[in-house]
Amino acid sequence: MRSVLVVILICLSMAAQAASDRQPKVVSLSPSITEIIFLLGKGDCLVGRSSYCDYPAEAKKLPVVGNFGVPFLEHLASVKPDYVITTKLKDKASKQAMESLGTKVILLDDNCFDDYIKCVKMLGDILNCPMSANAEVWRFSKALENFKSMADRVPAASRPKVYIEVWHRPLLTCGGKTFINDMIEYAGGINIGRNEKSEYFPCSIEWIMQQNPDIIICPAMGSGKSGEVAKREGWQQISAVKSNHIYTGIEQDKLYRLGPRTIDGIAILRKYIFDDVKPEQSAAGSEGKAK
Amino acid sequence: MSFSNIRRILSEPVIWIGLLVPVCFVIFMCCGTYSAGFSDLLNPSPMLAAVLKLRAARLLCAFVVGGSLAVAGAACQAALRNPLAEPYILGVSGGASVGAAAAIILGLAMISEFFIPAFSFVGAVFALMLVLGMARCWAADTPASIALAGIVIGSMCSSLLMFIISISNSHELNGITWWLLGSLQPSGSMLLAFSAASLLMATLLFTLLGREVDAVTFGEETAFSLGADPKKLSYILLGVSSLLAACSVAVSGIIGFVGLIIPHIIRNLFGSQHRRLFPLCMLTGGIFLMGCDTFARCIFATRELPVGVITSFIGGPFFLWVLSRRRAWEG
Amino acid sequence: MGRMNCNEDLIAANNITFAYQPGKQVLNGVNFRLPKGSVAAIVGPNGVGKSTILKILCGYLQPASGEVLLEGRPIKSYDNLERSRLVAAVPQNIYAPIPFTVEQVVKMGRLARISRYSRLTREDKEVIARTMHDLNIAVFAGRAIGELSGGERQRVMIATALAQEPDLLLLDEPTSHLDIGNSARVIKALINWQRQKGSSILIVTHDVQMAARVCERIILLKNGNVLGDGNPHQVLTRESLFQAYGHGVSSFISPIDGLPVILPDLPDAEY
Repeated sequence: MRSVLVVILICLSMAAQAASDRQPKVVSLSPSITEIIFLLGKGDCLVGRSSYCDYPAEAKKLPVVGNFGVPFLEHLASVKPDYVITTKLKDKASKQAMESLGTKVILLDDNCFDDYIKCVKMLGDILNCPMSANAEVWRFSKALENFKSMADRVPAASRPKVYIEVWHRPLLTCGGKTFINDMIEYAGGINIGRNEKSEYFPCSIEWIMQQNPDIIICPAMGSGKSGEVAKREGWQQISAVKSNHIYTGIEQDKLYRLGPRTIDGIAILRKYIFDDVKPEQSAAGSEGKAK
Repeated sequence: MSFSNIRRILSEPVIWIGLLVPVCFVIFMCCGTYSAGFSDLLNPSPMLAAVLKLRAARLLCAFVVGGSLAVAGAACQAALRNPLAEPYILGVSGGASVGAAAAIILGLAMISEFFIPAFSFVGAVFALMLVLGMARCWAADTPASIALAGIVIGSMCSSLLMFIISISNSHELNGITWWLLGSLQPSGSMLLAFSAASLLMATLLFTLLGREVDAVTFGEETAFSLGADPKKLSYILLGVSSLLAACSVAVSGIIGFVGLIIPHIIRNLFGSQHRRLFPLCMLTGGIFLMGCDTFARCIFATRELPVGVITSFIGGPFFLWVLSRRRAWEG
Repeated sequence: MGRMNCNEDLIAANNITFAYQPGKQVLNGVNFRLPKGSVAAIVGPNGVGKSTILKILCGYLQPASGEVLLEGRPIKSYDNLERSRLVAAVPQNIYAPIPFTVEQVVKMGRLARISRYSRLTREDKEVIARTMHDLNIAVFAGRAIGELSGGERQRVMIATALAQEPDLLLLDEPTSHLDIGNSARVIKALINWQRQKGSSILIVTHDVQMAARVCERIILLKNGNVLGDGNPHQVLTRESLFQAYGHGVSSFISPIDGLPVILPDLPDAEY
């Protein structure tokens, strides 16, 4: 009888061991990583998050062990993670510090859609869920393809020019090396900052006026604030303002997080760019263009 | 009017530098990212007209801020008898930074753009009051104790600012940092008009007090013996110039170096007498900042540089050149 | 001397006390009167309050008790410009952080005599040129004050005070930075000016020889009190000097001008 109990106990402990092998303890210091992990159905692997990780709602129940890309080392040590996964590390030296606590640190890129696909595949490997990872990769790629084919139907010359205002003081927009630039392209528009090689850059009013965008998107402004943009000194001549194509109050996370919801973000952009752009407006836009 | 009279008037630097201002204004108006040929300028499209209007507002703002900082710098240097003093010495910049940062972090900046200059102005004036009050409380209201109080308040403000920065998120941090770097695109015409009016009044007042200000630089005893009231004059100089600095900080953020070098350059070129120094500082400071800002607008096609970068980068070597030119000329 | 008649006194110090810090009295009831047209010196050991008296006499410091009468009126009741046309003071320490030229500095002497809305008149310019010439500083009129030697700067500040055309000139150690030659030239210029204008000069100095030769009146201070007040023969005696300075001196009458010469006793001389 006793020996049977011992055998059962050993079996149970081995099973627990095996289970914990399959379930690594993970801390995410990046909101997009947190979203992907929950999407893959592995939310229970997470033992800590950054203060910026706020989606989905379950994520908020996790203990905060850092800011975006900034670990709080003592908090981190107390949850004993196997992996710290992030897309950004503010201080490269903190990687060593975290490794000295016995965790593996995985730093992933998030500059373009390919990075997202790589990221999902890697998380699938680490978290032992290659099936759901592949499903997400397929869903994402399919949706992108779909947008691409819709965008390609419009000739490049008549695609509307989009100015996306990341921040208003200073005027900050995104350059060609960001996934937001790609999102605009897949949505069928042209990012006026595409030729700038940097990620985000402060731009001048004169440059915006010279570019003369057909659509202005200000995610950082609250909804219903488009009138404020239109009232800015000198902006009345910009074709987007003339034709009242100013959009504010967008869920910023869908735009600025390279995650599962990026597809929704592209859909929103496409709605802004396409549902309203009529041929005569783009013609007006190119006429007003500076020589 | 005889010929010699005309010659005398034209040899007065205030006159010909005053004539230089509109010339510079027109030249700077033509520079910018938005390219336009000369023929376009004569018959501007609505878009170009809008661009020109923006440029004019910005140049006007640069002139007012540059003039204010230079006049305030000259006044502070005289009152504190220290040629290295600058208009921010009474904690004005610290108070203004804290005010602006508070407006940004409290989310007021999202409600209306007007909150940032309003808060920074309130912050600057509050810091100024605190400094003058503190100096009064010590009973020894000499310029040295005023300056000391300014340094104390300034460092307290900078620690407050650091606190605000430490609790701000990345967008807010971005906003605060850029505000601190300074930008000359005016956000409200009310504040600019107020600053311009106070600049003109302060320059007129200081010019009329010019001879007394000269005397004050020789120390309280000498100034008193010559017939000036050094204590009252120090308060007027420091108070009014800090107000000018507060206005310009509220309009455009913190722009360094102008208040320090312009008075020096003018003294080197045209002498130290304050009756002439103050109006010349107003004109030259204005031209200098208009030039620097035009450069900051034009140097890159898409971007704008913070004008403070240019003022120090151009101003520094120019300053050294003026100093060395004087040495060589004497030796 | 018009001691009996207050109205003839240019300036009178009545029972002046002063303390920079409470409890540390610098002056304990100083009394003296200075008639118009006199040249007087205040002498005494270090830290006795000589410079403080000068600052009180020109109205810069307020005495703790007692009062200063300028032409019979309390000096407090004068406004700045009015007072500056009567009294000019040259302090011992001169700050010159801003690079004014010598001529510009001397022009400042006219501050109390020209309106802020007008330029210098021909008369102002004449006074400036004359004082610069008298003090032998016209040769470096265009140089910056900060680049001058201590002696040159002292002469410039004296010239500035003379350009004020005051009735009473207060000088704090006017010859401390000057060599014998320049010192003599400055003293001569001052005396000439004083005789021409009929003004008064009050000098604070350590140089008792100079005081004895230049001044008809010497005020000797000790511990914030007036120890002696009178002509050089009366005041600069061996006894009173020993009392004031706490050190033995030899005093004899110079055969050249009949005025006392004072030599401190040095170790060699004592034995």
